[in-house]
Amino acid sequence: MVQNPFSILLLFYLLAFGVFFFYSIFTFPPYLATFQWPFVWTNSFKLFMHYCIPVTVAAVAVAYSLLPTAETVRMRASSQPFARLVSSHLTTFIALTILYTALVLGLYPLALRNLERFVSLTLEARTFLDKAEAALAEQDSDTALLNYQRYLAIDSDNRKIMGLVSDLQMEMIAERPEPQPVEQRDLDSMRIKDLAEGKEPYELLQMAESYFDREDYFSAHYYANLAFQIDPNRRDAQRLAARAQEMIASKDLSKLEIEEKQLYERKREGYEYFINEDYFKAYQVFRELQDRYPQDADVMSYLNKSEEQLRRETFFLDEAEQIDTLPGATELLFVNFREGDEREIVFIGKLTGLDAGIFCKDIEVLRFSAQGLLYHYYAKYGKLRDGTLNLHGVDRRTDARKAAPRESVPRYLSGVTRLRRERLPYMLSVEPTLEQLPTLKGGRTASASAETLGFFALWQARRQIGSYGYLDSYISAEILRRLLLPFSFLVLCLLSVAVGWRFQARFFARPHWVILVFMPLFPIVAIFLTALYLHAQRILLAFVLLRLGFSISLIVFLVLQGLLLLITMIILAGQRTD
Amino acid sequence: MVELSETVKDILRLPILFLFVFVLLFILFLSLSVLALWGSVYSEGREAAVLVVETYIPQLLLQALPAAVLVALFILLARIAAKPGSRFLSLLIPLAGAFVLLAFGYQILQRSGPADQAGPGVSRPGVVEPTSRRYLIPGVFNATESKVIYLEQIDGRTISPVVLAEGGSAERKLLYFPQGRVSVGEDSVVIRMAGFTLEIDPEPAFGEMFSADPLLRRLFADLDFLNRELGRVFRLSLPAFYFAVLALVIAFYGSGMFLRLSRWHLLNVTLALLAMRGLLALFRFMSEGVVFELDKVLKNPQALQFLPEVALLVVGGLFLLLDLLFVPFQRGEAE
Repeated sequence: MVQNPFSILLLFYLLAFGVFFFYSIFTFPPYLATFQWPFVWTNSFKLFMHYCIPVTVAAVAVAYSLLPTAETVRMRASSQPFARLVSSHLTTFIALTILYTALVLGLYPLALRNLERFVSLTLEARTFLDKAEAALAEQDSDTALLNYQRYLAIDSDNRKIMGLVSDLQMEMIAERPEPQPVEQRDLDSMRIKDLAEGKEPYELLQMAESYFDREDYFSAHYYANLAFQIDPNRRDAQRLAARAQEMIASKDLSKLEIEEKQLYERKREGYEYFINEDYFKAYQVFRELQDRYPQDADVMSYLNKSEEQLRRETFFLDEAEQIDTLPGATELLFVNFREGDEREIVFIGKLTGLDAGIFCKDIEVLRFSAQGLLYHYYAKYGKLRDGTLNLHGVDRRTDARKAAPRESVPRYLSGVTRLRRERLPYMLSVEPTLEQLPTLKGGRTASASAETLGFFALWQARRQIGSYGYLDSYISAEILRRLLLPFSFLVLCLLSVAVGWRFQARFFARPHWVILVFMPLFPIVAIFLTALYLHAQRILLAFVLLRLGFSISLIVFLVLQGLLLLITMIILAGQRTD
Repeated sequence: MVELSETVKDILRLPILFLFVFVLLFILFLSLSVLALWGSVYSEGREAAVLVVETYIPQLLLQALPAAVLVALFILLARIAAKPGSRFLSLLIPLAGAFVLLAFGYQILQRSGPADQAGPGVSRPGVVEPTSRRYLIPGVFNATESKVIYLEQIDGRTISPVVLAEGGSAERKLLYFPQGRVSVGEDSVVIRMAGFTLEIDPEPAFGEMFSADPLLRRLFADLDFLNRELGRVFRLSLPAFYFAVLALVIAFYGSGMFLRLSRWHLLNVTLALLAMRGLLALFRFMSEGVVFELDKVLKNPQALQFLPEVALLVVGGLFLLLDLLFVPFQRGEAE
């Protein structure tokens, strides 16, 4: 006979988890092998939480049905009155309910999201692998290597791919032409020592004169020219620039001086791009210069300024492409804009936060009115900042001298003209907040899709989700369903105490081991009974929700749970005491 | 003398208990069915929902009856096992009570109800035709099996404009259509748009809020089948219907044997519940599995039309025989 019902409960929990663990091992879907054990643990936890109430109900009923009674006291002299027994266990049941609440509201959605992550990352990895293999077949080693490396970012333990990458790298090194001997450069001598930043034209002119006196004609020309550009009335600056130019031309330049001249010209080119607001070109020039002259303060200064300006209008594709190998919220769909008869529907394939910001992938925007489709476009990547999705990506690693840098802009599938008229054609204003976006999942608000959201995310989403094209009733129903679980856990635990006690075993001797064979039957029956109990309440609450709204349904819910708890306590108190 | 008073008590107590439990369960099952039906047609508007519920109330009464009788029978048997009285009355009252309630209750409800057994989602001329609003809601995303449809307005059978998500290629997930035509059929809802036809299951827009857990779906499907089968034999002939009800009642009564099988009462209850669940599954399996297969090979398939009922009767009779011969009637009491 059982002395402590919680030892049986623990045993049931362990056995249930063990069964789910082995079930998860044998039902591992065709995900990447690296996800096998994370999947097994996560799925075991998910199943355990899913069946936690029936397992608990079965265990508690079995435990209390096996407690020693007055009739079996001959066997063990440890029988206790029922009331004392239950009151001492009540605290433990409440503690268990609190623990269950924390797990089911906190960790369970996390586990579901984790399982979704395994699916999406597996798909991403397979895409990279396919691309890499296709590129390899076409002798495009660079693309193949890039995609293999992206694959390894997901499946980092894959030795086969690591071997392939290693071989590919070796091949590429072997094929690379011999590098030219590096010229010994006196970089210190080539850098311009002062910054032009924040200087007034007269100060720049003074600096230019100082350089001219020291026969540093490149710097003198640079600063004099700068002073003239800032203040075109400064003819003295223009004259000094011309004199410096003459001196440069008249001099028999050494190799070092030629290079210094080239540096100066490139700097001026970059500066002009910057002044003309072609920040991408300016960035490319200063970036290239910074690689060659890392200590040049002017280059550094203008590189930072160009980058800052560039980041306001574009984003860097190398940063955005990191999203491919990272998990995130997938398949977001929402009505972004409603005004008059105009509607805008936005689809986002993936949304992930990186160090460099919040990035999106596979963005599709479709706007229509009563007159018809206004526009429809697709953008591969986007960066979300302050409620605006920037759809203009540039490749900062593109060679500055190339005519067409790699960039990502929206590709119009329909109705291009309208958007071109807009002031910021590559900026999409996103109505939902960053916190709301993960709740707008694929146009599906049904409980199965809302299950992955945390309880508080659901609570927050409920108020506004209707304006994004979703039925808020489903979110409210999911909130009620989640709230129902902890209450049902407690009520059914207490009810199973009464049931176990009511249907006690009347063994005079130690029970035969054969009864263990029947143990799995109890959870099976409990699964159906608890499902019926929950289903009946869900129907009632869903009806009240649709008919009377969320607030009333919440009140009805609390009253109902109070009533059920009261009935359970009455049933419990009505049990015979010996 | 004591035995006689116990018998008298049983004569009064058992039918009252049976009737009381039955009425409670019948009201509960009926209420839940009504609420679920109301929810499934809620998107058509309040008036339409009320009309649909009114129309289908008689049918829901019929559907709730067998389940209420069988669960009440189980509860009565559990009560008898816990406090056994007269063995004869314990055999007679549950069997007769369940038979009378099910057979005559079904007849009464059937007379006051619809002429056929069509489900709430099925269209019947002159009754309540489901409209596209039952399955599609304007201004929100309507999720179907694999696609999501957004539509701005519904005007009769015309919907406009329509945006289909998850359609097209990887770079064109959204498809725009100025308008579409909806045809609501018995088994599917067909949406025709320019160059694109989408066929979806007729799942009501709010249906999932009222749908059963996957674990329960098979149980409900078995119960639905039981209802359909009772309706079928009722339409066939009254003796056939009585035979079916008798077979069902005997089978369920027989499975009450498990309630006195061992000294561990919780195990007994568990086994009895599983046995009853098994009987429902067996009934459906015999009809949809065995009869269906035999139909293909036998020359006279008509002979098989009562095979599920016969199977129930045989299993029930076997349980009863085992009960009478081997299972002590008093085991429920402390030994």
